[in-house]
Amino acid sequence: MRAGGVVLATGGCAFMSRLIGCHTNTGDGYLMAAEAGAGLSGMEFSNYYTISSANSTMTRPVSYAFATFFDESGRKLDLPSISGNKYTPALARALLDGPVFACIDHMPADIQARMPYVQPAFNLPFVRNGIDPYTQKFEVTLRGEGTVRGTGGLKVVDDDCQSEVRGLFVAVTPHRASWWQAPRQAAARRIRPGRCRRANGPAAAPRCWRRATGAAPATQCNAIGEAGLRPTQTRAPIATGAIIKAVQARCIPTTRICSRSGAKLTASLQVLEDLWRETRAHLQGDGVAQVRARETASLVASARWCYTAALARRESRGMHQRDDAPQEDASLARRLSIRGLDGIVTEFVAPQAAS
Amino acid sequence: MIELIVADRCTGCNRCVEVCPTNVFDKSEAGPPRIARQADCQTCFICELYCAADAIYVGPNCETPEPVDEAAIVASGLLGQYRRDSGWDEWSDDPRYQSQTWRMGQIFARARAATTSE
Repeated sequence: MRAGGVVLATGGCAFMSRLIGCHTNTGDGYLMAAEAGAGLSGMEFSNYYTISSANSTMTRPVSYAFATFFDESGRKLDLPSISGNKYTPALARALLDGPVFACIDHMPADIQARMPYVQPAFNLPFVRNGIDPYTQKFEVTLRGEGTVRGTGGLKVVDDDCQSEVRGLFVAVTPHRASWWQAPRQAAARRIRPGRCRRANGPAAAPRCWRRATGAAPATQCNAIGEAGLRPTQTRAPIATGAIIKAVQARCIPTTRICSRSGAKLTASLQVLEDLWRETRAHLQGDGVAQVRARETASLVASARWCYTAALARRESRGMHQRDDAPQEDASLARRLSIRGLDGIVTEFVAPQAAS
Repeated sequence: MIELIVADRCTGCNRCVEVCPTNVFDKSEAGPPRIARQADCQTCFICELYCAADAIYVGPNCETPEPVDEAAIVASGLLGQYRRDSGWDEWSDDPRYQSQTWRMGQIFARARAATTSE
């Protein structure tokens, strides 16, 4: 590595679900770091979903705390509180039964008046569709967030948010940010938060500077990026769109939060393994297509880590709910590390002493 | 999804080409940028925010293109709405459009109170 240090600020991976702004969050930072030897953590907590109005990207949930929900016949749906854990699975189940509609009819007038300046984007789809969301019903959906608001990400090993690769740091989103997210989502409930006490990568700057100025730059660098960039076998024409769709079919449908099980996870993982092998062996692109090729490889890699971790955590905890292991297992109240590209290894990490 | 660049308004500054996270636009030799890859648009509205000429319209539907009538959009007053409400550029000194994002904490608290009292 020629740089004194590198800070990854690449976001998580939402599998191009149309969560707002997520189509560049393809897990490419995870893949880059993993190819450099870094491990990840908490990838099983990667099935978080956020409500949006149908056909829109507006995944800003707070207003829906003031909403009433209805089924297609206009019957009021009795959903649990949006601030709790049971809300999203309940909404997901309702959506499997048929279209769901909302009306943000309980939002106080003073908040309504402020919303355009609190969240300037929130009202855009409503205004442009000619809908008054405070008096009219509109259809809603759930958008998958993958690891974006889940807690999975690159494993950090010190207070400077350094990854397992020396000199490779992570900004707040790609690393396991459970110290602020877990309390809200109870995702990693009773798992001791990671040791990262500082919010993000800027902590890396002084150290990078010392390293950058203290040592002569390496004269030769070796490219380590492989998947989607440098295929291990002969390059072959591969439809990236079809691979992305296949990954999305495993990672976006809301059935994922309603029922994970060992058998289903294993079946999906088999599909993802095949996609990985094909991608790794043959995928390469030129020009702009090179970007899409790398993104495609990143999506497949991220999906495999999420599924492998979900299979390894044989219990139900927070957003990770398994039909075949419906109880929380006290012995698994620990972080799950995951590493590797072609061969993936998982390991439950012994709880750290409080620091 | 991106639907329109109003040629009469576009100054050809190409900011939209630069800021688009998913590389939807191509620069033109002359005139407005081209919407070259509409299907790659992720409906994030960033191009509108950066368009100081208020020449861009992004439709609300992120899944399917919905062609719009240019004259109707120009007449609708929607062009530039997001940039104005975000308090950018010439709106940055206007007290009506100052960001109130800092109120999110209060709104969350009232939302929590509203949902737990029922």
